[in-house]
Amino acid sequence: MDLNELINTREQVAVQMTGEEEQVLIAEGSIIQLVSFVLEDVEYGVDILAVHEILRFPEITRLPNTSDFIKGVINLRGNVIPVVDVRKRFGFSQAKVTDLTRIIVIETSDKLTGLMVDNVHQVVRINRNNVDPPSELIEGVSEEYIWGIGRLKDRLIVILNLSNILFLEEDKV
Amino acid sequence: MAFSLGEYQDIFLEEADEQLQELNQNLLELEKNPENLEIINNIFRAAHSLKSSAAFVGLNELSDLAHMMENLLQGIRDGSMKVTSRIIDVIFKCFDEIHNIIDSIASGEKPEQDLQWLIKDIKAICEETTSKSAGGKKAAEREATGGGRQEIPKAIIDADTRKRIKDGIERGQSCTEITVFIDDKAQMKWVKAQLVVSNMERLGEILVTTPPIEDFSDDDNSIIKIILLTEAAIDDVKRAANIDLITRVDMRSIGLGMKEGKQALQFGDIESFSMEHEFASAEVPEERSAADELKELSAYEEDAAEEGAEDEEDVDLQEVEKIAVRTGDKAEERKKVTALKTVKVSIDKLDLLLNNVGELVIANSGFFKLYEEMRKIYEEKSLVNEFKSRMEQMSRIAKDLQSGIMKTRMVPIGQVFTRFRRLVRDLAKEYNKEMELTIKGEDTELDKKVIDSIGEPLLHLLRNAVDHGIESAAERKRLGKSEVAHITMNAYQGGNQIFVEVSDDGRGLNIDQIKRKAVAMGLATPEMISAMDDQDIYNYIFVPGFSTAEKVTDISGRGVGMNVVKEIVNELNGNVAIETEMGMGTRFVLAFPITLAIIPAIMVKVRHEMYAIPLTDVIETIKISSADITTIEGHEVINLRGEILSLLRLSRFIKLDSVLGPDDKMPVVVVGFGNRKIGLIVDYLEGKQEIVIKSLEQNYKTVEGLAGASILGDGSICLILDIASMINKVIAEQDKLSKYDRTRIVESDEAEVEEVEQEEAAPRTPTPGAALRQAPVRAVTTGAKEEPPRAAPRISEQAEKKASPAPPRQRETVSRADEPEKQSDQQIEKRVHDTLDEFRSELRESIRSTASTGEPSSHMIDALDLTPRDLNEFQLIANVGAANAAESLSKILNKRIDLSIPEVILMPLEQIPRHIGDIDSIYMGIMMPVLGDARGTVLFIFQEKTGYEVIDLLYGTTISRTKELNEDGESALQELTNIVGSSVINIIAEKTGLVIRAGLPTIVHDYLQSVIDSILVLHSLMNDYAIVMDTAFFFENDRIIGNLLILPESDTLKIIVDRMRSHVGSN
Repeated sequence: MDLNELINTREQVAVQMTGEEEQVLIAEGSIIQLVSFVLEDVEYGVDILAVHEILRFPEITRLPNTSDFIKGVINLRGNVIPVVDVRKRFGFSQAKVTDLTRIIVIETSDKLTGLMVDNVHQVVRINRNNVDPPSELIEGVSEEYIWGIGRLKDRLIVILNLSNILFLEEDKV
Repeated sequence: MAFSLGEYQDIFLEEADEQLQELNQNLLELEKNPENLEIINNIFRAAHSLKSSAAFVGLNELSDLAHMMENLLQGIRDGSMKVTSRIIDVIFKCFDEIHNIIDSIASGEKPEQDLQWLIKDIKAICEETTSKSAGGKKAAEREATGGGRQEIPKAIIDADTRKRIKDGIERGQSCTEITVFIDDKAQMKWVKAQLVVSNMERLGEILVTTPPIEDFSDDDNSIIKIILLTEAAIDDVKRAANIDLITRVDMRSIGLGMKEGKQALQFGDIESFSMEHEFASAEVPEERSAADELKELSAYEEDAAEEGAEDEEDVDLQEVEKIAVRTGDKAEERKKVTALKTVKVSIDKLDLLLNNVGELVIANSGFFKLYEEMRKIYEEKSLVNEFKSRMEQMSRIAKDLQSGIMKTRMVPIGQVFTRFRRLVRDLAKEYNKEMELTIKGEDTELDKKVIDSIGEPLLHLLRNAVDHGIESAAERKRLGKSEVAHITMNAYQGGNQIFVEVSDDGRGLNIDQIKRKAVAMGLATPEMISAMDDQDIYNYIFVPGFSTAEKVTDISGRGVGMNVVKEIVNELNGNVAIETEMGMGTRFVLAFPITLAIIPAIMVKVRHEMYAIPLTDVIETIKISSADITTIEGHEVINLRGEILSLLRLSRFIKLDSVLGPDDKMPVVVVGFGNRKIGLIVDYLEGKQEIVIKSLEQNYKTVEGLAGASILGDGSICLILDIASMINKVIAEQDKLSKYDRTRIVESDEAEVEEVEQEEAAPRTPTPGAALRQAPVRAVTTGAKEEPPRAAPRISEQAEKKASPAPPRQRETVSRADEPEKQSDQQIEKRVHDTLDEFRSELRESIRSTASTGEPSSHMIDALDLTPRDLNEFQLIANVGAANAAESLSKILNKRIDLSIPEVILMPLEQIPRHIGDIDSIYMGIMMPVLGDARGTVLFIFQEKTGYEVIDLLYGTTISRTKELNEDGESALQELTNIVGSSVINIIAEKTGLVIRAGLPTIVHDYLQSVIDSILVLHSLMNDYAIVMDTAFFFENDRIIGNLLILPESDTLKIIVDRMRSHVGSN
């Protein structure tokens, strides 16, 4: 799915303001943009600056002898990148791969990683002031994966700590 | 072999070419504007750098010529000479000669141009003009350098200082000569000088300051020269000199070099740093002021650089003359060679390019699939054909591109090799050994990555060769070798590998010492060692820490760094092999794949998953059936041509179910790493393919068992197996196993046999020692799937038959005549023969292993689950039985019979024949199976001659009438045995209350070994040991008649003993 398309079709939430004002705030970093996806009724967000691209579910090569939440590796234009099954990582049950299943390719510390998610919901903007530190509010998902919790009118978005998604405690697994 | 200046050749040629072009151009201009100082300076500078770079690569003649040119130009520059057409002509001639030299080097020939006449010419000009303007020179010089500035002082390097410099450099310090220019306008210059000196002192040791710091006076000095011995980086030195009002710092390194066969100090190029400008970028020689001073510097250089530059020159001149005589005017014939042009590209860029081209090749292969599809659908043939030809063109181009880029990564190994000349020379001195390093194949090209890393392994190999391989001159002389040892480094290509060798003609590796050491270090057991081939044993020297302990031995130290060698070479997908001959020398051969980026691999599949195994790791691919596999403690092995090969099921390793059924033939890839190998069981073999290695670490991390990934033609990813790590894992298990085996072979024979029973000695993988003794057991339990079970009785019968062929006169006697015989005798004979041979060799094997594990009898008792008490009690029965038997024998033969005290012994099967008598004589053995509750064999054995005698006695005929064993004789002996054996059996039955009966006796007439083998076969032995009751019967005159042996099966013995106890108890 095209990222731009997503951004264009985004919901205008939170603050109403002109495009210019918004751009300034984004540039300042007081508004962050998130690519969000929904898992088990909870909406999660990934900082759009870390998102490299979003792919439809590609052919995945299983990677033996590694953590079970590693779905495998994919060929991204000649790069071999690992794909994290986010459901497994968060301890949810397995879900079927559907037409909506996406791989969000993120870049953290110079490495590309794919996050396999059930869907990609939208791009949301959220004011930094509306982001709270992680709490134990979110059931099932370990705090370590959470960077913060964004409040948006009537909904909450769990903002993910990307660097921990792949490597945290992996050795234990 | 082409002439080469070593690793700097390309750089030198490139530079020299540039300089020459500049010189030519400038000289042309000078001709037009003879007064232009700038042009003169430019020429001067170019000549100067040509001089130093020529000296640097060892072109002394060229350097001398440049030096003369410099002198000439200096005269022009300081105005003592006028630019005349004669001078210009001479300089042009110089350029031409230099050009010729460069050309010949570029074309790989040794430059042999005659420069003498030119040098003479220039000298003549110089002398002429300088003598004219003598005296004015000094003044002119001052003028040229801009008045008030002081001449650069000459550092005085006396013998003591020189020694200190040498020592310092040998300690790893670097020596730098620093010339500090203090601003003329500065007040209290000596304070500045003092400051610089004390700054320097903090960095290292100041050897000399010129002028001495205490003599530094504000009025006369503004330049101070410091010779510093330091470990600090050049930047630090610069910083230390960077204080206020210092205008410039010149530095040049002082190193050790060889001059005329003597060690001498060597001065590097001067690097100038202007302190008024930004630090790093200020390269003063580019600047006007610096150029002015170059003259002074060079003047200084002449004098300061080593004692007597004049002498040196003379020597060089003589050399040049000699060369001139040799070569004549060959130079003129030499044709022009196009200038060498190179561009420096970072390896990263190349890698990126290679990556992309790899993708291109892969993407391109996608078209082939498309073409296939198109061909099916489209009617329009011409269009499809056009597409095809375009596609093929593309693919060709892509492949050319790929190989072209690959080639850019290739670097000749010569530059690595030549580094070691010096090392060998130094080591030779250090160890006081005479040796000569021969370098071959410098032009062989290797991947840049290999070149970058190969230095260290080669260093270790050379060190070891010098240190441990090569004997002292005296020792060599004593051994009749040439006193000068030879070390050779060689590189060459063979197939798709590059070989790099380091060989010496020293003492070679001492295999016995390695063996001992390996055992001492617990790396192997003596029996493991004895089964290993030499190459495997030599490979122990690569084990980390090997040999470091025992400094006394020759091989000690051979291990130092050997592990590093192995590791680095393996990292580069290479291998190390050792060839050595005691007393003759050692050769280490490192083999590397030609390129590291693309490797050939064998593709295998487990279910739908494709994996690649680098071809360099593959030894062979075979197919086996599950029946070939032996499982011990969950560890699967097969016997591959007499070697134990541990197996690893790839499916299990990657945690996937195999599609192979139990009856399917299993493809096995035999892979090797170092001296170990294992078999990898896969589902399918998919053939060879070239693959581009991609790292997993780049975006993820190292995954156990995987060396990387590759992208296949269809864009899918295939994982590359890391054979080394897999082997290590399996071998660890195997090693455990062999220890286990060693002790357990004795202790848990049962269990082993149970499991071993699965094993089918595969017909296509011949397995010596495919245990005969297991065959009967298998028959009892499951039986083999593929061929009709070789049932125990049949085997024994065959064994009996086997016994017959050997000596011509004997014939077989098979008691069970009703046994159906379908196979031809020959076949049976052969099979039995083979089986027996195997059996014997296996026996030997197990004996050897027991022998080495300690006191045998206790093991044997343990193995048979007996106690010494059991044996004692059996002995009691045996005694009675034997006495009874003697009595019967006495009756039959009607003679008094003596018997030896029966001996119950446990012994390895193999030793039984030896125990009984002369294994090389022919015996008659009559064996009688013991059947019923207790099982075993009674064997009555006579020497051939005695056997005939007994027959005579039995028939009451004249002694020594019987000369051959006929039917009558046989039946007589059988009857005898029957009676004698039964008397023993009866006693046992009586004492134990067991129901035991005697079977039909069988005669074997053969060499003792065969006689015994026959019973052992019959005896369906599961152990390597037997309990033997042995008693010898004697005639009155002490002449031995024969031996009576009772060989109960071990569990029978147990039964007998138990029953006897209870029987006795109940009585």
